[in-house]
Amino acid sequence: MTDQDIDPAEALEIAGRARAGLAERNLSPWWYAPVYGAGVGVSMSSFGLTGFSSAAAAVGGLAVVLSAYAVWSRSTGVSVHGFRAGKPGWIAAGLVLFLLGVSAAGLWLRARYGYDWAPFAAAAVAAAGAAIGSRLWDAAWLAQLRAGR
Amino acid sequence: MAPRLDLVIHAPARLQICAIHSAVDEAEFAFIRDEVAVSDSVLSKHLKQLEEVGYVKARKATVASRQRTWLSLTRKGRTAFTGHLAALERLVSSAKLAAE
Repeated sequence: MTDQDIDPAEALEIAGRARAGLAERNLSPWWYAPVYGAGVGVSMSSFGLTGFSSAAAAVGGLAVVLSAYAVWSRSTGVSVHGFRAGKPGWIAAGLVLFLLGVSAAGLWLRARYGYDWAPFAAAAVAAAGAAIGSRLWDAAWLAQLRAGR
Repeated sequence: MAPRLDLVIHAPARLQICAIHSAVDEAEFAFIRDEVAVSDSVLSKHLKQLEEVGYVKARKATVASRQRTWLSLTRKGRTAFTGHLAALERLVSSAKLAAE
């Protein structure tokens, strides 16, 4: 094949269509965000616990998150990391900052005012935030795919 | 990224394979086959060409006693694909300017 054979516009269309076609697959199943949020929440509840139960919550929550990802990846046939270029990456970074802020607030309220429930409340807020963040990430990623980028 | 046409990537099926891989980190063989709508043997042939130039790498994973092949673009492949798209875009822009 030589350069003369190339139809650049058609080639760009093929590449864009291939990426846009991914968005038509069921890459964002309904169960993923709530399970991911629950895993994050359980993991963060470890800040309100002590000893073995704290370690069990941290590891158990992490196991839920990793298992959810493994099941999703196996069922869809693709694997993606959160920190992609563009909007999905910003959402992932924002979620990390949010989770750090919420967990710090829970720990501070307990240390400063003795509110033992604060880390659990923070874990609940983190769970909801993680589930919403996961949905937002999916939407941004799928929008990127539909745009052929 | 310097625009550079890459004739290994340019064939429609390989262009689709690279485009799909540029949107994900890894994709399973069967997923790519279904998306590109080719047979296993045709896809294998295209993947072999991409692997030979170091653009794609394969990883075998066994789940529930079933072996699956996961494929991803290498850094070299990603760079080549980005450069190829940039070259195509430049050609399209040049053609538009020439037509005006």
